Order: sequence, then structure tokens, then C-alpha cells
Amino acid sequence: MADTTFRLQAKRGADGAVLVKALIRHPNHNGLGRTADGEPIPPHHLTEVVVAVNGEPVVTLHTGSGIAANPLLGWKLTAATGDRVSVAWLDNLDERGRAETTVV
Amino acid sequence: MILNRRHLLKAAFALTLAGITRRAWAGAERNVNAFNGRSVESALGALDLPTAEESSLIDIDAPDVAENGANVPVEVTVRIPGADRVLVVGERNVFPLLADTRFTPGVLPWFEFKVKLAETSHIRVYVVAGDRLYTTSRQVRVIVGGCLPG
Repeated sequence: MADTTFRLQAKRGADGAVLVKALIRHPNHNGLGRTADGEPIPPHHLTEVVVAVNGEPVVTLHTGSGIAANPLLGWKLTAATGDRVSVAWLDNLDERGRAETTVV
Repeated sequence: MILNRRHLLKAAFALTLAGITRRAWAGAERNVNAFNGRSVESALGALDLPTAEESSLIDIDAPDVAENGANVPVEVTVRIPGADRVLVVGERNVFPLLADTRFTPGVLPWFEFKVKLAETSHIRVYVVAGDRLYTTSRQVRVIVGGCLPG
């Protein structure tokens, strides 16, 4: 079971855009690795990440086994202070995670 | 007879609901064949893209030397007007396609994420703007490969 905790922040940067950073805790096994005992580790990685502002999707990221474990993801959006920004993810085993924050 | 009809209605309702939540989750289907492609050609072939032209309006920010290939930060900035889709490829990875991301107009065509790189290779970025495809690449030297242990 993936540890589904993740950290999210949305801050207005010097360029006026809202910088969204998401740290998703996920092992992202690509299916090629083995444990210390030589047992193959089955693939377990993110497949889709959706960023939404006030519930409206603005970015979709499709990814695969090449994404790093516990990846840091970042985007720059146009949004007003106080808007709700959410990031939701789905992995190849149909596990899901979601976090929401307010633009500051 | 009534039971059958009820089952049928229930099944139909469940199917519709599944369809709706599926669409709400993401605009486009994830291209499974592209992500399972074991060469750059097969990955890009599955995506059915036009021929790419080199562009200097795409910046890839990644370390010149990555000590650990399991965690390589990549930052992509696109200065091509109308760009709404960015693809990232690790040319020598077992599964080369790393990301396929789509932006709506309210988003700056910039993003960062972390990838695994199997060995020293080029990271190649493709940008879709309208019906044109632009590309650029950047080499990253990898000291310890990041694919097999992970």
C-alpha cells in the first residue's frame, strides 16, 4: 500500500504566476527491480496527475515507470489569491491520492 | 422479469457512472502503448505525432552530471506560442517515455519533475503547438544508473 501522504503548496512568485509544488510520496517501482532476496518487485508507479483550480482541471500529466520515487512536481498557473488548487494522482494499481490548498 | 429489468437498470447506471468519473478524471486517455514502448521509435510511433523540427525556444534545465540516476530533476520552459503539450523522453531508458503533459491556456508552459535515467543519455523534449511538433535535447551524465534497483 502506498503511503498516500503528500505535501502541496501554491505561492505567488515574483513573476506574478502561482507556483504550485507537489511532493508525492510514492515508491514508483518500474517493475525491473528486485528485492535483496532476488524477488522481482512488481511495477507500481504513478500514471496520471491532474492539477485543478477551483475544481477545474488545468494540467494533466501522464507518466509511467520513468518517474522518480517520491517525486517533486511543479507548475506555474494563473490563479487568484484564495483560489483552491488541488493535485490528484492515480497509479497503475488504481490507488489514488489528492491534496488541496489555497493560493497565498 | 421485474428482477431482470432492475438488474439491467442497475448495470446501466453503474456503467454510466463509471464513464462520467473516468472523463472527470482527465481529458485524454493515457496512451498505454507509448509508455510501454521499449524504444524511442515505438514510444513516439504509438503517439502518432507529426515530424519534429529542432527549436531553440525550449529550455531544458537538468544537471550536467547526475550522481544518482534514480532521481534527476528536470525543468522544462517553453517559449513557443500556442504550446499546449509537452513530452519528455529519456533516450536510453528501458521505457523511454517519461511524461506526456497537457496544459490549458491559463497555465504557463513550464513544469518541473523528477525522473529516473538508466545511464548517460540525452533527455529529449517534444512540444506540440497546434499541428506542429518542436524538439530539443540535453545530455545528462549519469554516474549510477537509476532504473534497475528501483
